[in-house]
Amino acid sequence: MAPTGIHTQTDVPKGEVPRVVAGFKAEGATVVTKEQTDGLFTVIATFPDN
Amino acid sequence: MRTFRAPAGVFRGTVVALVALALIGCATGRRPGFPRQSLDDTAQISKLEEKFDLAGKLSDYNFGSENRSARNQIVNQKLVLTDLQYNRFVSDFAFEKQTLDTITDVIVLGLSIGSTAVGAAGTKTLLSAIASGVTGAKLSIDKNFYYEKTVSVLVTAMNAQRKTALIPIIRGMSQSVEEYPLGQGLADLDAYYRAGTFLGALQAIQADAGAKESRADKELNALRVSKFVDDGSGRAIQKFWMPKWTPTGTGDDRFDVDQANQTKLLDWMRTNGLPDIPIQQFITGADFAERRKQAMQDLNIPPFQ
Repeated sequence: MAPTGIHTQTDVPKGEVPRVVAGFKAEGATVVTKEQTDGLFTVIATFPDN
Repeated sequence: MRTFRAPAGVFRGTVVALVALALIGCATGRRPGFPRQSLDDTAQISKLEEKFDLAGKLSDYNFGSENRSARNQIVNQKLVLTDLQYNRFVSDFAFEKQTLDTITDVIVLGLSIGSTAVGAAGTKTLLSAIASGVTGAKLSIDKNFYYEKTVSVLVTAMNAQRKTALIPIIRGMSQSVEEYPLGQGLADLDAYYRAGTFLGALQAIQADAGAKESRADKELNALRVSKFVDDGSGRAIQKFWMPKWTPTGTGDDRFDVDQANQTKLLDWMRTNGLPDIPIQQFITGADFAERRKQAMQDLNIPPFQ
């Protein structure tokens, strides 16, 4: 069963963003990245509903 | 003029059914599954209604200058009557259901015996058809009016709701009339009465299901948002999933997935209660640190070097 809906990972260091983004994309997610006020990043992955 | 004579089998079948019905009548002098009450509840309710004269008491009640003792008397008496009516309602409902079951079973039994005993094929068919009809009618009544096996669930829900609704009444009766006026008591009694209805039970079940769903949604949302963490088990699983990945690598192919290992990971996550979690969330989510260690052990994933 593939993940569905929106999954978010917070507090991602800048250097780790490509890893997290690629991981979500590998399972078919559309990914958006937002910088937090503390310099870390939030990665939001939206998976299609089955 | 030709006179119709019922075959002997029909007669015997009918007699069996009637005798059995008569026996049920004797046996069900009291409600099945309910011990005999020392007082006739119908008479008891009727006498108490007359004695309490709640309508009279309410019209005489001085709402402008309330009295704690008079308030508690009215609340108590209304409570007693509500309880008695509720007990009767529950036992009557169970009684009707069990009686219906027994009576139809006996009629079917009688008709079946009759159809076996008679010789004429036409009569046999007729009796069998009637027996099927009675069975069908009972099934229909069961489904439409008795919600099949939900009665006990409804009674359990009603009992639970009534206990909850009783709390403010008991608490209120110990308070002053300023804190707990009769109007509030009557409103609480009304809620107590409604808690003992099928509608009240269904609403409670629905509300309970809604609350559970809301809790589940919250837990699910918590799982869906996780803080990033980079630990040894996460790195090991990342490598297992994307064999060319290294923490300092740069090429795009470092994110190429090993499909066989991905299948193993997904199977493990599904069997371990994480079917809806993305693999990356599992690998770098702070909430899954312990589960990652377990996955490494179960899937024989080597530690990250």
